[in-house]
Amino acid sequence: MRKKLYSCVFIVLAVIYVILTATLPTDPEVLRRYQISQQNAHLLTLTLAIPMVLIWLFALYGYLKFYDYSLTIRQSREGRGFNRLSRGLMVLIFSLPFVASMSSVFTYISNRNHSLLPTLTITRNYISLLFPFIAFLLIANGAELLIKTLRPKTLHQAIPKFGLVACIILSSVYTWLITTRPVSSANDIYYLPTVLILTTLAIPYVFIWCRGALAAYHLYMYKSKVKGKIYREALNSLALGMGTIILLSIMLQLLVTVSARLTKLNLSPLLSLIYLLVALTAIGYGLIARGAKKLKQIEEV
Amino acid sequence: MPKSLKIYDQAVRISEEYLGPAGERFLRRQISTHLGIEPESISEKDMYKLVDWASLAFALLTSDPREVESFTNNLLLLSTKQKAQRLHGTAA
Repeated sequence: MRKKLYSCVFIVLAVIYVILTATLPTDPEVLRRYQISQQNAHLLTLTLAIPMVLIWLFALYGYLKFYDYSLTIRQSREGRGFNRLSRGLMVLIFSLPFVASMSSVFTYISNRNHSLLPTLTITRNYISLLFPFIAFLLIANGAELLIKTLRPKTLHQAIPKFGLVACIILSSVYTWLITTRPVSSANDIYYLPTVLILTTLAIPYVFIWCRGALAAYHLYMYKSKVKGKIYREALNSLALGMGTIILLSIMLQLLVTVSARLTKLNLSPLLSLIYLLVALTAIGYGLIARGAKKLKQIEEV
Repeated sequence: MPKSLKIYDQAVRISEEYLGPAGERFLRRQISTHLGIEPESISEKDMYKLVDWASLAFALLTSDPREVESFTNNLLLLSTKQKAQRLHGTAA
């Protein structure tokens, strides 16, 4: 029953997104810059939107498989961990059509009324942070619960030695990108003072990226240390899929950070970059679907 | 410790070598579904029937026939070992 509800809600959100993409007028400045007509702009955005929606539906399929599995083993020792992972994945997946639709609506409103641009941009940035923040915390908690089901002495290996260095490098690079971004009233993507950007956006993003990366590492460790060759093979796909999705999320956010510089590029490289990220998304969710199916099969035979 | 529980525990250990945390659930399912007994009450005379069903189910989880053979043989050895210990009158 719940699966049907989730599927219906998700499909409705996806349809809303497609309708918004096909009907909302494009910013005239964008039409002028790339020298395309409104109709061509709609067709172009649909060539991005439709594959994106197909990927989302694929992601939904992967999530529902994983949800099935987590329900099956909810009474077991590792049930809590998989349940948290499932909830985190749900938040992440449902955020895809929601944030995309919200973004389309906000863009349209701000094109019609430029005075609302700062408010809508700030709102969009915080809502875009909220979903991955919740999702990655749930995923990280789930991965920790799983690793705790292993022998206790495994825990002291639970944080990789290079982890601290990687976090420092990541936060330094991200801070540099934010503080050196070219800013004008026309292309600011934050509309906040730098100190607020750093404390309320950059720090939370770096925090969840580090938590997300640690979760991927914990899942890798759980997969490596847990008994059962066949069980490990099924988990392998799941761990790889989660890691791919976490990496993609990080890359997308970095892309947004440097987006002011990317508008200087021609259209083709920008589209290529977006298509590449969409393809990576498909691979990640495909791996999760495959892993969840194999794990479920073990519980069914 | 009751001998039947010992057999069950050892069978679970073997199952977990291949299926990890899902091993015990797999074994309990095979015993309760195909043998119709409480899993913990399994005895050596039930093992042959269990091995038949378990190996069939196990073969659906792996494409490697060597894994299936190894799993089957380990369960069969368990039954043989229990029988030998009973015949010699030593507790497992």
